[in-house]
Amino acid sequence: MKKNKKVLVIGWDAADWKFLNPLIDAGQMPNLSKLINGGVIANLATLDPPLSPTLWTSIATGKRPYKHGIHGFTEAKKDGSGIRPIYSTNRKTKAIWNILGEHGLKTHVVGWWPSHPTEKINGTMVSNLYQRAPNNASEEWPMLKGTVSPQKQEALFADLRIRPQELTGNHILHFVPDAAKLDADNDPRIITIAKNIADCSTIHSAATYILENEDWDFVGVYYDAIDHFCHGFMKYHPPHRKHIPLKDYEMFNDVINSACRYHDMMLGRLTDLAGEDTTIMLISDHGFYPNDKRPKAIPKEPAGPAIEHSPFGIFVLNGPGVKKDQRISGASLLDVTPTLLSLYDLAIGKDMDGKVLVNAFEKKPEIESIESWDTVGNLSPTQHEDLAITDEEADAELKQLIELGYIADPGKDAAKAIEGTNNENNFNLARAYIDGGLLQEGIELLEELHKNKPDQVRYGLRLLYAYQGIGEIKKARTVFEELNEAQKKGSPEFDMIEGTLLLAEGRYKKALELFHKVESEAEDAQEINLRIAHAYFQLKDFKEAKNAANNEIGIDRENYSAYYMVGLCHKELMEYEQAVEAFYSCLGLLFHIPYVHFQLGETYFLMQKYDKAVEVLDTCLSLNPSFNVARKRLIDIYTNYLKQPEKAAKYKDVKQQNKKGTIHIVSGLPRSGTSLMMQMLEAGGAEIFTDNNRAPDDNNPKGYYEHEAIKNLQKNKAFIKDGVGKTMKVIAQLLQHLPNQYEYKIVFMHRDLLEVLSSQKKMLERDGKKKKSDAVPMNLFDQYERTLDTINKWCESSFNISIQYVNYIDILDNPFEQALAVKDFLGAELAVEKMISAVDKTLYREKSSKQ
Amino acid sequence: MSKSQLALKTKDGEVFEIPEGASLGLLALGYKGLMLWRQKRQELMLSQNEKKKESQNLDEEK
Repeated sequence: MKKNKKVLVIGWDAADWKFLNPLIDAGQMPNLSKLINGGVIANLATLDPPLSPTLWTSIATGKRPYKHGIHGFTEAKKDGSGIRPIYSTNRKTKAIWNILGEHGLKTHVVGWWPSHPTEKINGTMVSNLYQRAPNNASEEWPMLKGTVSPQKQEALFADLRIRPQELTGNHILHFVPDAAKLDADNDPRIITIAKNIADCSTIHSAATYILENEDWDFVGVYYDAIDHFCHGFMKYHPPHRKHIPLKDYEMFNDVINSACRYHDMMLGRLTDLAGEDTTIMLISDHGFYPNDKRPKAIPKEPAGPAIEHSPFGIFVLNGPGVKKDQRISGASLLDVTPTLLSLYDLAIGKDMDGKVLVNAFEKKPEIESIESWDTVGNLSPTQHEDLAITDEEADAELKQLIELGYIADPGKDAAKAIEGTNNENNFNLARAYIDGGLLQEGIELLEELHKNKPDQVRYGLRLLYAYQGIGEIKKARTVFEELNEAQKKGSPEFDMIEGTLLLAEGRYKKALELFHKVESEAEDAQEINLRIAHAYFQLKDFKEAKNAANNEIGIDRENYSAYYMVGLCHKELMEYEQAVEAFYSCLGLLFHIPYVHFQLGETYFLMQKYDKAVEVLDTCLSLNPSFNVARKRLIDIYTNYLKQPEKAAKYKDVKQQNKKGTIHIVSGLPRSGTSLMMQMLEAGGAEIFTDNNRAPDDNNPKGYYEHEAIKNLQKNKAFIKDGVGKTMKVIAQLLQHLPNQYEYKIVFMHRDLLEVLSSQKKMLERDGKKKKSDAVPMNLFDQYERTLDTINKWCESSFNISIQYVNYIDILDNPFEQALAVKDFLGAELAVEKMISAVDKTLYREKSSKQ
Repeated sequence: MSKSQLALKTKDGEVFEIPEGASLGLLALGYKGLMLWRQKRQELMLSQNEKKKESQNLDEEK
C-alpha cells in the first residue's frame, strides 16, 4: 500500500460540462481551469435510476445499487410508524472510507449522501444532515444525533455552520443583481438562493477546517448545491424559452452561472489547502440539461425532478502521475472507487462493477484484485454508534426532500406512506437491475408492481420496455394495451411508445408513420429523430436513417445511441472511415457497451485492418464474455487472416473453461417434431429429464417428454443443475431463459410453419380448446418467424450454446443420416439403429401442400 | 478560536484585512473566512453601539 499519498475527492452534484464549459472558456472558473489543464477530464456516465443517494453510494463503493442496498430517498421506519430519509445503515457493503480506514489511513468525509447517521471511521465524518438549517430564523438549530463522528467534535462543527438568515444582500446580489426590485424577504426564489448558499458554505466550512487542522490521507467532500440551484433556476438559464416569463428570465438568468463561479472560488480554497502534492478528483453523479432538452414540466410523481438530469456528469483528475491536459473516454461513476484504490496501490474487489481508469495515468498502474473487501477486516460493512434518533430529528431531511420535489408529502397516513416508499424503492431496484443487465430480476419486481398498481403508468412502461428487451413482444403488447386503455388514447407519448413496440414487432412502416405523426404533433418529443432513424434503418433506407440520427445529434451532442446509429448506417453504406469515427464518438461517451465495440471490430474487419479489429473485439469480449459472435470473429481472424492459430486456440479454450456442465436440449416451436426427437434420443440410450406428468394422448401418442419445472424456467432456474448430462425438452420461446453457467447442445427442430400452425390448430381442436374451422391462424406466422429469427441471433451471440438444426421432414425421409448427424453433434454414445426405430411415419399427419 | 489562530494571510504572507461588508469571497475561504467575518460583524456592532451610546450621552449632556 502507498503511504504518504493524499487524495481529495470533491463532489459537485449535477455538475455538467455543458454549462461549465462556457464559463471556463470565458475565464470565469480559473480554479477549475487550472485543475483541468494540469490533469485529465472525462464525461462520467451515470447509472439508472439517476437518483443522488443511490449514485453517490455507487461512487463510494464501486458497485451497482442492487449490491450496495441504497435504493431511494426514503425508507420505512423500523417501528412501522412512518417513513424517514434513507439512512447509511442500509448500506450493505464497504465504502472507500471503510477500506482506507482499515489500512490505517486517516480518512475524513463531509456531507456525503447518504452518510447519516455517521459511521465510526479512522477520522472525522460529518453527515449529510449537517447543513440543513430550520426555515425559521428564531428556531433553535441543534445538532442531530449522528451528525458528527467522533461525537466529541459536535460542538466544534456546530459553530462552523451558517444559517441562510445570516447572509446579507451582498451575498444574494452576486446571484441576482436586481434582487432589490423584488420582495426579497418573501420571494421564495430568493429564500432558496440564500438556503443553497448557506448549505454549501456550511459544508465548505467543515471541509476547510478538516483540511487545515486534521491529519489526513483522504478527504471526501460532497456539495449538493449545484443540483439544488439547477432544479430551481435552470429554467431561467439562457437561452430564453417562450414559456418562461421574460421578467423572471431577466431577473434570474445568471443564477446558475453565479453558483458555478462560487463553487470555483470554493474549489480554489480547497486546492490551496490540499497542497501541490495532493491528487484531486472532482466528480458529479449525473449532469443537468441546460439546453433544448430542458423539460417544460416536471412529472408529478416521486423523483419526478430527476427528469432534468442528463446521463453524464463530470470527472477531473489532477495530481502526481496523472496525465496533463488530456481527455479520457469511457469513464463511469462505478470507476471512481477502483481508481481511488489504485492510487493507494490497494487491490480492487472483484465484486466491484467498475474498473481502474488506467488511461488517466502517465504510467499504467499495476492492478491487483481480491474477491471482496467485505470479507477482509471488519465484517460489518458499516460501523455505527448506537444512536437513538428521535422522530423530530429524522423529519428534518424529509422536509427538505419534500420541498425540493423529490418526494411527495407522505401525509399522515403512515401505512400508505410506507407502502409508497416500499413500492418506490422496489421500482428503483428494478431499474437498477435492468441497468445492470439483470433483466429477469428487474422484470419480476416490475410485474409485481404493475399487478398491484396498474394505475402507475411508469411501472407499466418500464415493464413494457423490459419485456421488449428480452424479446417478449407479446407480453409488451399486452401491457401497452392495458396502459393505453387506462390512459387517454392517441396522446403523442403513447403513440411514441406504440411506435417503439411496432418496431420490435417488425412493423416498421407503421412505426415510421406513427413517429412522423408524433414529430408533427409534439415538438419536444424525446429522441423522436432517433426513433425515426431506427425505423428507416429497419426499412433499409440507410441514408434517411443517418440523416435522422444526425438530427438527433444536432439536438443532443451527448446522445451516444444516435452516434451508434450513424455508425451503423455508414457501415451499411460501406463508408467505413465515417463508421469508425461515429462508433468512437459513441464509445467516447459511454464505454461499457459491448455491441458497439463489436460493430467497430466488424467495421475494422471489413476494412481489412485485422490488428485493430482483434483489439476492439477483445475489448468487447472483456465486457461481455458471452458475446459469442465476437469470439467467433476473433477465432476467424486469428485462424484465417493473421495466421496465428495458437491465439485462436486461446479463444477456443476459454469456451471450455466457464461451464458447470453440459445439458442436451431438444427445442423448436410446439408441434415441430420435438417429441419425435426426444423419442429417438431415448431409444438411442440418452437419459431423459422428464417427470412424465403429461401422459400420452391422441396428439402425442408416444408421450410428451416434458417436465413441469421447465415451464417455469423464467422464474425458477434452480432445477437446471439436475439436467446436467441429460436431455430435456425446452420450447423455443423459453430457450433464452436458460442460465448462462452451463453449456447447452441444442437440437433444434425445424418444420414447415404452415404444418406447425395446422398441427397446433388440430391439437387445440382435439382438446376442445378451439372450435373446428378451416382457417389456419396466419396471424401467428409472422410472430413465429420472428421468434425463430430471435433464437438464431441469440444462439449466435451466446458463448455457451451450440446448435444443430434438424428438419422434421428430413428425419422422415432420411432417418439414418439425421440420427447420425445428431449423434455426432451431441458427441454422445447413442445407438443410431435404435434411434431410427423410433421414427413412426404414420404420425406425420399435417402435410403442407408442398408434400 | 482566537483571532491569531484564524488570521488569513495573502500569498505574500501579509495578514488579510477583513472588509466591513459581507462577501462571497470570505465564505469561499471556508471556516476562517466565516469566523473572521462574524468577528468583524461583532466588532462593527459593538463600535456602532458605542457610537450610539456616545451620541446619546452627548445629547443628554446638551
